[in-house]
Amino acid sequence: MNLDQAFVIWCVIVPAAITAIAAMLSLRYQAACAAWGASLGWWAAVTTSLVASQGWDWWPEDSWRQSIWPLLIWSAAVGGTAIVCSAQDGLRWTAAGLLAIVTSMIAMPAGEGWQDTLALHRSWMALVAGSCLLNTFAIERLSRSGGHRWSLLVALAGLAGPLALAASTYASLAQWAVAMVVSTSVLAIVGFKAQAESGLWTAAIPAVVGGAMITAAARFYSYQPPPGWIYAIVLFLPAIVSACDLLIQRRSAWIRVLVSGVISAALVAVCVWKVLLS
Amino acid sequence: MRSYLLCAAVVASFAAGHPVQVRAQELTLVKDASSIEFVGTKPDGKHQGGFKKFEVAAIADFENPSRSSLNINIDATSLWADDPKLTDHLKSPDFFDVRKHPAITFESTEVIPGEGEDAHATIKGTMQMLGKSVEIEVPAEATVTDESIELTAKFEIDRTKWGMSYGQGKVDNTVKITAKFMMKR
Repeated sequence: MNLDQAFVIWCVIVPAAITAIAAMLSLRYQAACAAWGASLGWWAAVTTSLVASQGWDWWPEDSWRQSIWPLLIWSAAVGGTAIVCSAQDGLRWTAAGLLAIVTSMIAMPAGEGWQDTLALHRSWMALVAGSCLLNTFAIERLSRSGGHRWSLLVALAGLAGPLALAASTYASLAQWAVAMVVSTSVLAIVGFKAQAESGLWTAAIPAVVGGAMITAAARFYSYQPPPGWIYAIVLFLPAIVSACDLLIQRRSAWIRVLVSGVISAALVAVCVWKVLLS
Repeated sequence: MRSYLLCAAVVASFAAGHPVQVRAQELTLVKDASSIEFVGTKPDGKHQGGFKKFEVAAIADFENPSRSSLNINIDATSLWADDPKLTDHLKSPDFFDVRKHPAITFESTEVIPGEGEDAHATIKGTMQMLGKSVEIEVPAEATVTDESIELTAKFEIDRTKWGMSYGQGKVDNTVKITAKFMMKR
Protein backbone atom coordinates (compact mmCIF):
# COMPACT_ATOMS: atom_id res chain seq x y z
CA MET A 1 0.00 0.00 0.00
CA ASN A 2 1.55 3.32 -1.01
CA LEU A 3 1.30 6.62 0.84
CA ASP A 4 -1.72 7.89 -1.11
CA GLN A 5 -3.66 4.67 -0.71
CA ALA A 6 -2.90 4.50 3.02
CA PHE A 7 -3.98 8.11 3.42
CA VAL A 8 -7.27 7.63 1.59
CA ILE A 9 -8.09 4.41 3.43
CA TRP A 10 -7.06 5.32 6.98
CA CYS A 11 -7.70 9.04 7.03
CA VAL A 12 -10.80 9.25 4.84
CA ILE A 13 -12.66 6.00 4.17
CA VAL A 14 -12.30 4.26 7.53
CA PRO A 15 -13.08 7.32 9.72
CA ALA A 16 -16.02 8.17 7.44
CA ALA A 17 -17.36 4.62 7.64
CA ILE A 18 -17.03 4.39 11.43
CA THR A 19 -18.66 7.77 11.96
CA ALA A 20 -21.44 7.01 9.48
CA ILE A 21 -22.24 3.74 11.28
CA ALA A 22 -22.18 5.54 14.65
CA ALA A 23 -24.46 8.27 13.28
CA MET A 24 -26.95 5.78 11.83
CA LEU A 25 -27.06 3.78 15.05
CA SER A 26 -27.39 6.96 17.11
CA LEU A 27 -30.42 8.08 15.14
CA ARG A 28 -32.22 4.87 16.10
CA TYR A 29 -32.00 5.55 19.80
CA GLN A 30 -33.18 8.23 22.19
CA ALA A 31 -31.27 11.46 22.32
CA ALA A 32 -29.33 10.63 25.51
CA CYS A 33 -27.93 7.44 24.00
CA ALA A 34 -27.52 9.10 20.61
CA ALA A 35 -25.27 11.75 22.14
CA TRP A 36 -22.95 9.12 23.51
CA GLY A 37 -23.11 7.19 20.25
CA ALA A 38 -22.18 10.20 18.13
CA SER A 39 -19.45 11.50 20.45
CA LEU A 40 -17.87 8.12 21.08
CA GLY A 41 -18.29 7.19 17.39
CA TRP A 42 -16.34 10.32 16.47
CA TRP A 43 -13.64 9.38 18.98
CA ALA A 44 -13.49 5.77 17.70
CA ALA A 45 -13.11 7.01 14.13
CA VAL A 46 -10.22 9.41 14.82
CA THR A 47 -8.51 6.98 17.20
CA THR A 48 -8.67 4.18 14.63
CA SER A 49 -7.11 6.50 12.07
CA LEU A 50 -4.31 7.49 14.45
CA VAL A 51 -3.55 3.93 15.52
CA ALA A 52 -3.50 2.75 11.90
CA SER A 53 -0.85 5.29 10.94
CA GLN A 54 1.19 5.54 14.16
CA GLY A 55 0.69 2.16 15.81
CA TRP A 56 -0.87 1.37 19.18
CA ASP A 57 0.62 2.49 22.44
CA TRP A 58 -1.26 2.97 25.70
CA TRP A 59 0.70 6.11 26.54
CA PRO A 60 2.73 7.25 23.51
CA GLU A 61 5.82 9.41 23.94
CA ASP A 62 4.46 12.18 21.70
CA SER A 63 2.06 14.40 23.61
CA TRP A 64 -0.25 14.91 20.63
CA ARG A 65 -0.76 11.15 20.37
CA GLN A 66 -1.71 11.08 24.06
CA SER A 67 -4.64 13.31 23.07
CA ILE A 68 -6.83 10.27 22.46
CA TRP A 69 -7.35 9.85 26.21
CA PRO A 70 -8.56 13.35 27.06
CA LEU A 71 -10.64 13.24 23.87
CA LEU A 72 -12.25 10.00 25.08
CA ILE A 73 -13.21 11.66 28.37
CA TRP A 74 -14.49 14.78 26.60
CA SER A 75 -16.57 12.53 24.30
CA ALA A 76 -18.05 10.46 27.13
CA ALA A 77 -18.31 12.91 30.01
CA VAL A 78 -19.03 16.22 28.31
CA GLY A 79 -20.28 15.45 24.78
CA GLY A 80 -22.25 12.39 25.87
CA THR A 81 -23.91 14.19 28.78
CA ALA A 82 -24.90 17.32 26.85
CA ILE A 83 -28.44 16.06 26.33
CA VAL A 84 -29.17 14.58 29.74
CA CYS A 85 -27.75 17.54 31.68
CA SER A 86 -29.13 21.04 31.66
CA ALA A 87 -27.19 23.95 30.22
CA GLN A 88 -26.61 25.29 33.74
CA ASP A 89 -25.48 22.04 35.35
CA GLY A 90 -22.76 23.27 37.69
CA LEU A 91 -21.23 19.87 38.32
CA ARG A 92 -20.87 19.18 34.59
CA TRP A 93 -19.21 22.53 33.93
CA THR A 94 -16.90 22.05 36.89
CA ALA A 95 -15.90 18.70 35.41
CA ALA A 96 -15.43 20.34 32.00
CA GLY A 97 -13.20 23.01 33.58
CA LEU A 98 -11.03 20.42 35.31
CA LEU A 99 -10.90 18.38 32.13
CA ALA A 100 -9.81 21.47 30.18
CA ILE A 101 -6.90 21.94 32.61
CA VAL A 102 -5.85 18.28 32.32
CA THR A 103 -6.18 18.48 28.53
CA SER A 104 -3.95 21.54 28.40
CA MET A 105 -1.33 19.78 30.53
CA ILE A 106 -1.31 16.75 28.25
CA ALA A 107 -1.06 19.00 25.20
CA MET A 108 2.31 20.33 26.40
CA PRO A 109 5.23 18.33 25.02
CA ALA A 110 7.55 16.94 27.69
CA GLY A 111 11.06 15.58 27.65
CA GLU A 112 14.64 16.76 27.28
CA GLY A 113 14.23 17.74 23.65
CA TRP A 114 11.53 20.27 24.45
CA GLN A 115 13.34 22.30 27.10
CA ASP A 116 13.71 25.27 24.78
CA THR A 117 9.91 25.50 24.56
CA LEU A 118 9.30 25.70 28.33
CA ALA A 119 8.80 29.46 28.14
CA LEU A 120 5.75 28.85 25.94
CA HIS A 121 4.07 26.28 28.16
CA ARG A 122 2.39 28.62 30.63
CA SER A 123 0.66 30.76 28.00
CA TRP A 124 -0.20 27.78 25.79
CA MET A 125 -1.73 25.84 28.67
CA ALA A 126 -3.99 28.82 29.33
CA LEU A 127 -4.84 29.12 25.62
CA VAL A 128 -5.66 25.42 25.20
CA ALA A 129 -7.72 25.25 28.41
CA GLY A 130 -9.53 28.46 27.48
CA SER A 131 -10.16 27.22 23.96
CA CYS A 132 -11.58 23.88 25.13
CA LEU A 133 -13.90 25.48 27.66
CA LEU A 134 -15.01 28.53 25.65
CA ASN A 135 -15.59 26.56 22.44
CA THR A 136 -17.55 23.87 24.30
CA PHE A 137 -19.70 26.56 25.84
CA ALA A 138 -20.07 28.23 22.42
CA ILE A 139 -21.14 25.01 20.68
CA GLU A 140 -23.65 24.24 23.41
CA ARG A 141 -25.11 27.75 23.36
CA LEU A 142 -25.43 27.59 19.58
CA SER A 143 -27.04 24.15 19.63
CA ARG A 144 -29.42 24.88 22.49
CA SER A 145 -30.58 28.09 20.84
CA GLY A 146 -31.79 26.37 17.67
CA GLY A 147 -28.45 25.86 15.92
CA HIS A 148 -28.21 22.12 16.59
CA ARG A 149 -28.37 21.35 12.87
CA TRP A 150 -25.34 23.40 11.96
CA SER A 151 -23.22 23.59 15.11
CA LEU A 152 -21.23 20.67 13.68
CA LEU A 153 -20.52 22.85 10.64
CA VAL A 154 -19.07 25.48 12.99
CA ALA A 155 -16.92 22.78 14.62
CA LEU A 156 -15.87 21.71 11.13
CA ALA A 157 -14.81 25.28 10.31
CA GLY A 158 -12.94 25.27 13.61
CA LEU A 159 -10.86 22.32 12.39
CA ALA A 160 -9.77 24.02 9.16
CA GLY A 161 -7.23 26.27 10.91
CA PRO A 162 -5.64 23.43 12.92
CA LEU A 163 -5.44 21.39 9.71
CA ALA A 164 -3.66 24.23 7.89
CA LEU A 165 -1.21 24.70 10.78
CA ALA A 166 -0.51 20.98 10.99
CA ALA A 167 -0.06 20.72 7.23
CA SER A 168 2.64 23.38 7.37
CA THR A 169 4.72 21.47 9.91
CA TYR A 170 4.09 17.79 10.39
CA ALA A 171 2.39 15.44 7.93
CA SER A 172 1.38 12.73 10.41
CA LEU A 173 -0.33 15.37 12.55
CA ALA A 174 -2.06 16.78 9.46
CA GLN A 175 -3.29 13.32 8.51
CA TRP A 176 -4.91 12.99 11.90
CA ALA A 177 -6.49 16.41 11.48
CA VAL A 178 -7.90 15.21 8.14
CA ALA A 179 -9.46 12.21 9.92
CA MET A 180 -11.08 14.65 12.37
CA VAL A 181 -12.36 16.79 9.50
CA VAL A 182 -13.79 13.75 7.70
CA SER A 183 -15.51 12.37 10.81
CA THR A 184 -16.97 15.76 11.72
CA SER A 185 -18.11 16.26 8.11
CA VAL A 186 -20.02 12.96 8.09
CA LEU A 187 -21.80 13.85 11.33
CA ALA A 188 -22.47 17.39 10.06
CA ILE A 189 -24.11 16.04 6.89
CA VAL A 190 -26.25 13.54 8.78
CA GLY A 191 -26.91 16.02 11.57
CA PHE A 192 -28.12 18.70 9.16
CA LYS A 193 -31.18 16.60 8.43
CA ALA A 194 -31.64 15.23 11.93
CA GLN A 195 -34.14 16.40 14.51
CA ALA A 196 -33.17 18.60 17.43
CA GLU A 197 -33.34 15.71 19.84
CA SER A 198 -31.04 13.52 17.77
CA GLY A 199 -28.03 14.59 19.82
CA LEU A 200 -25.57 14.23 16.94
CA TRP A 201 -24.37 17.79 17.52
CA THR A 202 -22.71 16.70 20.78
CA ALA A 203 -19.83 15.27 18.72
CA ALA A 204 -18.89 18.88 17.97
CA ILE A 205 -17.55 19.11 21.53
CA PRO A 206 -14.70 16.57 21.19
CA ALA A 207 -14.14 17.99 17.69
CA VAL A 208 -13.37 21.51 18.98
CA VAL A 209 -11.17 20.03 21.73
CA GLY A 210 -9.34 17.97 19.09
CA GLY A 211 -8.80 21.16 17.11
CA ALA A 212 -7.20 22.86 20.13
CA MET A 213 -4.86 19.92 20.69
CA ILE A 214 -3.83 19.80 17.03
CA THR A 215 -3.16 23.55 17.13
CA ALA A 216 -0.95 23.22 20.22
CA ALA A 217 0.99 20.35 18.65
CA ALA A 218 1.42 22.29 15.40
CA ARG A 219 2.77 25.26 17.36
CA PHE A 220 5.35 23.19 19.20
CA TYR A 221 6.50 21.42 16.05
CA SER A 222 6.84 24.72 14.18
CA TYR A 223 10.22 26.47 14.10
CA GLN A 224 8.88 29.49 12.22
CA PRO A 225 5.44 30.01 13.69
CA PRO A 226 2.90 32.35 12.10
CA PRO A 227 1.83 35.50 14.01
CA GLY A 228 0.10 35.07 17.35
CA TRP A 229 -3.22 36.46 16.09
CA ILE A 230 -3.49 33.48 13.71
CA TYR A 231 -3.41 31.13 16.70
CA ALA A 232 -6.03 33.27 18.45
CA ILE A 233 -8.37 32.93 15.46
CA VAL A 234 -7.72 29.21 15.07
CA LEU A 235 -8.17 28.43 18.75
CA PHE A 236 -11.32 30.50 19.24
CA LEU A 237 -13.13 30.37 15.88
CA PRO A 238 -16.21 28.51 17.23
CA ALA A 239 -16.44 30.97 20.12
CA ILE A 240 -16.17 33.95 17.74
CA VAL A 241 -18.90 32.54 15.48
CA SER A 242 -21.15 31.78 18.45
CA ALA A 243 -20.63 35.28 19.88
CA CYS A 244 -21.67 36.84 16.54
CA ASP A 245 -24.65 34.48 16.38
CA LEU A 246 -25.73 35.65 19.83
CA LEU A 247 -26.46 39.07 18.33
CA ILE A 248 -28.82 37.64 15.70
CA GLN A 249 -30.24 34.58 17.43
CA ARG A 250 -33.82 35.89 17.12
CA ARG A 251 -33.51 35.99 13.33
CA SER A 252 -34.44 33.12 11.04
CA ALA A 253 -32.27 30.02 10.94
CA TRP A 254 -31.14 30.71 7.40
CA ILE A 255 -29.87 34.18 8.27
CA ARG A 256 -27.99 32.74 11.24
CA VAL A 257 -26.50 29.99 9.07
CA LEU A 258 -25.53 32.51 6.42
CA VAL A 259 -23.85 34.88 8.89
CA SER A 260 -22.03 32.04 10.63
CA GLY A 261 -20.94 30.64 7.29
CA VAL A 262 -19.62 33.99 6.06
CA ILE A 263 -17.72 34.67 9.30
CA SER A 264 -16.29 31.14 9.37
CA ALA A 265 -15.26 31.27 5.72
CA ALA A 266 -13.59 34.64 6.16
CA LEU A 267 -11.63 33.54 9.24
CA VAL A 268 -10.61 30.23 7.65
CA ALA A 269 -9.54 32.00 4.46
CA VAL A 270 -7.33 34.41 6.43
CA CYS A 271 -5.73 31.50 8.32
CA VAL A 272 -5.13 29.38 5.24
CA TRP A 273 -3.73 32.34 3.31
CA LYS A 274 -1.36 33.35 6.11
CA VAL A 275 -0.27 29.82 7.08
CA LEU A 276 -0.05 28.04 3.74
CA LEU A 277 -0.01 30.60 0.95
CA SER A 278 1.92 33.65 2.16
CA MET B 1 28.33 12.03 8.81
CA ARG B 2 29.67 12.09 5.35
CA SER B 3 31.91 14.87 6.38
CA TYR B 4 33.33 12.75 9.09
CA LEU B 5 33.86 9.96 6.64
CA LEU B 6 35.54 12.30 4.27
CA CYS B 7 37.87 13.46 6.93
CA ALA B 8 38.87 9.93 7.66
CA ALA B 9 39.38 9.29 4.01
CA VAL B 10 41.58 12.32 3.68
CA VAL B 11 43.65 11.23 6.59
CA ALA B 12 44.03 7.80 5.16
CA SER B 13 44.87 9.10 1.72
CA PHE B 14 47.35 11.50 3.16
CA ALA B 15 49.02 8.73 5.07
CA ALA B 16 49.13 6.50 2.02
CA GLY B 17 50.39 8.83 -0.65
CA HIS B 18 52.33 11.70 0.86
CA PRO B 19 55.51 12.24 2.80
CA VAL B 20 54.93 11.94 6.49
CA GLN B 21 56.51 14.05 9.17
CA VAL B 22 54.64 12.77 12.20
CA ARG B 23 53.22 9.37 13.03
CA ALA B 24 49.75 10.44 14.11
CA GLN B 25 48.26 13.87 13.88
CA GLU B 26 45.06 15.36 15.14
CA LEU B 27 43.35 17.51 12.52
CA THR B 28 41.35 20.67 13.20
CA LEU B 29 38.16 21.38 11.26
CA VAL B 30 37.87 24.70 9.44
CA LYS B 31 34.13 25.18 9.88
CA ASP B 32 33.62 27.99 7.40
CA ALA B 33 35.12 25.92 4.60
CA SER B 34 33.30 22.71 5.47
CA SER B 35 29.79 21.57 4.70
CA ILE B 36 27.42 18.63 4.93
CA GLU B 37 24.63 18.75 2.37
CA PHE B 38 22.05 16.36 1.03
CA VAL B 39 19.66 16.15 -1.89
CA GLY B 40 16.34 14.40 -1.44
CA THR B 41 14.53 13.41 -4.60
CA LYS B 42 10.95 12.58 -5.47
CA PRO B 43 9.32 11.54 -8.75
CA ASP B 44 8.49 15.16 -9.62
CA GLY B 45 11.50 17.04 -8.29
CA LYS B 46 14.18 17.39 -5.66
CA HIS B 47 15.14 19.47 -2.64
CA GLN B 48 18.47 20.47 -1.23
CA GLY B 49 19.33 20.66 2.43
CA GLY B 50 22.10 20.25 4.94
CA PHE B 51 23.34 20.84 8.47
CA LYS B 52 24.81 24.10 9.68
CA LYS B 53 26.47 22.77 12.82
CA PHE B 54 28.72 19.77 13.10
CA GLU B 55 31.91 18.73 14.84
CA VAL B 56 34.65 16.55 13.41
CA ALA B 57 37.37 14.77 15.36
CA ALA B 58 39.92 13.28 12.99
CA ILE B 59 43.23 11.63 13.73
CA ALA B 60 45.57 10.77 10.92
CA ASP B 61 48.00 7.96 11.55
CA PHE B 62 50.57 8.35 8.82
CA GLU B 63 52.47 5.20 9.64
CA ASN B 64 49.45 2.92 9.75
CA PRO B 65 46.57 4.63 7.92
CA SER B 66 44.07 1.98 8.89
CA ARG B 67 44.44 3.21 12.47
CA SER B 68 43.29 6.68 11.50
CA SER B 69 39.94 7.64 12.87
CA LEU B 70 37.11 9.96 12.08
CA ASN B 71 34.25 10.89 14.39
CA ILE B 72 31.50 13.21 13.30
CA ASN B 73 28.77 14.69 15.46
CA ILE B 74 26.02 16.57 13.64
CA ASP B 75 23.58 18.87 15.42
CA ALA B 76 20.37 17.70 13.75
CA THR B 77 18.50 20.78 14.97
CA SER B 78 20.71 22.87 12.67
CA LEU B 79 19.07 21.25 9.65
CA TRP B 80 18.21 23.57 6.76
CA ALA B 81 16.37 23.07 3.48
CA ASP B 82 15.72 25.16 0.38
CA ASP B 83 12.16 25.85 1.59
CA PRO B 84 11.48 27.06 5.17
CA LYS B 85 8.32 24.95 5.41
CA LEU B 86 10.27 21.93 4.27
CA THR B 87 12.83 22.67 7.00
CA ASP B 88 10.06 22.39 9.60
CA HIS B 89 8.79 19.19 8.04
CA LEU B 90 12.23 17.59 7.86
CA LYS B 91 12.78 18.38 11.55
CA SER B 92 9.47 16.73 12.47
CA PRO B 93 9.05 13.07 13.46
CA ASP B 94 8.11 12.31 9.83
CA PHE B 95 11.82 12.56 9.02
CA PHE B 96 14.66 13.49 11.40
CA ASP B 97 12.60 13.90 14.60
CA VAL B 98 15.19 16.34 15.94
CA ARG B 99 13.44 16.83 19.28
CA LYS B 100 13.86 13.19 20.17
CA HIS B 101 17.12 12.63 18.28
CA PRO B 102 19.09 15.90 18.26
CA ALA B 103 22.37 14.28 17.19
CA ILE B 104 23.51 12.29 14.18
CA THR B 105 26.87 10.63 14.63
CA PHE B 106 29.43 8.73 12.64
CA GLU B 107 32.29 6.75 14.12
CA SER B 108 34.82 5.21 11.81
CA THR B 109 35.85 1.62 12.41
CA GLU B 110 38.27 1.18 9.54
CA VAL B 111 40.00 3.38 7.01
CA ILE B 112 41.07 1.69 3.79
CA PRO B 113 43.48 3.96 1.94
CA GLY B 114 43.81 4.05 -1.83
CA GLU B 115 46.92 2.46 -3.29
CA GLY B 116 50.02 4.37 -4.38
CA GLU B 117 49.47 8.05 -5.10
CA ASP B 118 45.72 7.51 -5.23
CA ALA B 119 43.97 10.07 -3.05
CA HIS B 120 40.84 7.95 -2.78
CA ALA B 121 39.97 6.04 0.33
CA THR B 122 37.11 4.13 1.80
CA ILE B 123 35.95 4.77 5.31
CA LYS B 124 33.93 2.16 7.10
CA GLY B 125 32.00 3.09 10.17
CA THR B 126 28.80 3.25 12.14
CA MET B 127 26.29 5.97 11.46
CA GLN B 128 23.71 6.57 14.17
CA MET B 129 20.53 8.39 13.29
CA LEU B 130 17.04 8.28 14.81
CA GLY B 131 18.49 6.10 17.56
CA LYS B 132 19.53 3.37 15.16
CA SER B 133 23.10 2.38 14.24
CA VAL B 134 23.89 1.19 10.73
CA GLU B 135 27.25 0.19 9.27
CA ILE B 136 28.14 2.16 6.15
CA GLU B 137 31.04 2.56 3.74
CA VAL B 138 31.92 5.95 2.37
CA PRO B 139 34.22 6.64 -0.57
CA ALA B 140 36.26 9.78 -0.02
CA GLU B 141 38.71 11.89 -1.94
CA ALA B 142 41.42 14.00 -0.38
CA THR B 143 43.43 17.01 -1.42
CA VAL B 144 46.46 17.35 0.76
CA THR B 145 48.75 20.32 1.18
CA ASP B 146 51.38 21.14 3.76
CA GLU B 147 48.87 23.14 5.76
CA SER B 148 45.60 21.36 5.27
CA ILE B 149 43.65 18.35 4.11
CA GLU B 150 40.41 18.74 2.19
CA LEU B 151 38.14 15.72 2.18
CA THR B 152 35.25 15.33 -0.19
CA ALA B 153 32.80 12.46 -0.06
CA LYS B 154 29.84 11.92 -2.33
CA PHE B 155 27.69 8.95 -1.55
CA GLU B 156 24.13 7.73 -1.13
CA ILE B 157 22.25 6.23 1.77
CA ASP B 158 18.94 4.41 2.04
CA ARG B 159 17.05 6.43 4.67
CA THR B 160 14.73 3.52 5.48
CA LYS B 161 17.65 1.63 7.07
CA TRP B 162 17.39 4.08 9.97
CA GLY B 163 13.62 3.77 10.11
CA MET B 164 12.96 6.98 8.21
CA SER B 165 10.15 5.49 6.19
CA TYR B 166 7.68 8.36 5.87
CA GLY B 167 6.48 9.19 2.36
CA GLN B 168 7.60 6.05 0.57
CA GLY B 169 6.41 6.29 -3.01
CA LYS B 170 6.24 10.08 -2.77
CA VAL B 171 9.80 10.64 -1.60
CA ASP B 172 12.66 8.46 -2.82
CA ASN B 173 14.38 6.28 -0.24
CA THR B 174 17.84 7.08 -1.57
CA VAL B 175 19.38 10.35 -0.39
CA LYS B 176 22.49 11.83 -1.99
CA ILE B 177 25.01 13.24 0.44
CA THR B 178 27.95 15.50 -0.21
CA ALA B 179 30.36 16.27 2.58
CA LYS B 180 33.34 18.58 2.37
CA PHE B 181 35.76 18.96 5.25
CA MET B 182 38.62 21.36 5.28
CA MET B 183 41.00 20.46 8.10
CA LYS B 184 44.17 22.11 9.30
CA ARG B 185 47.11 19.87 10.02
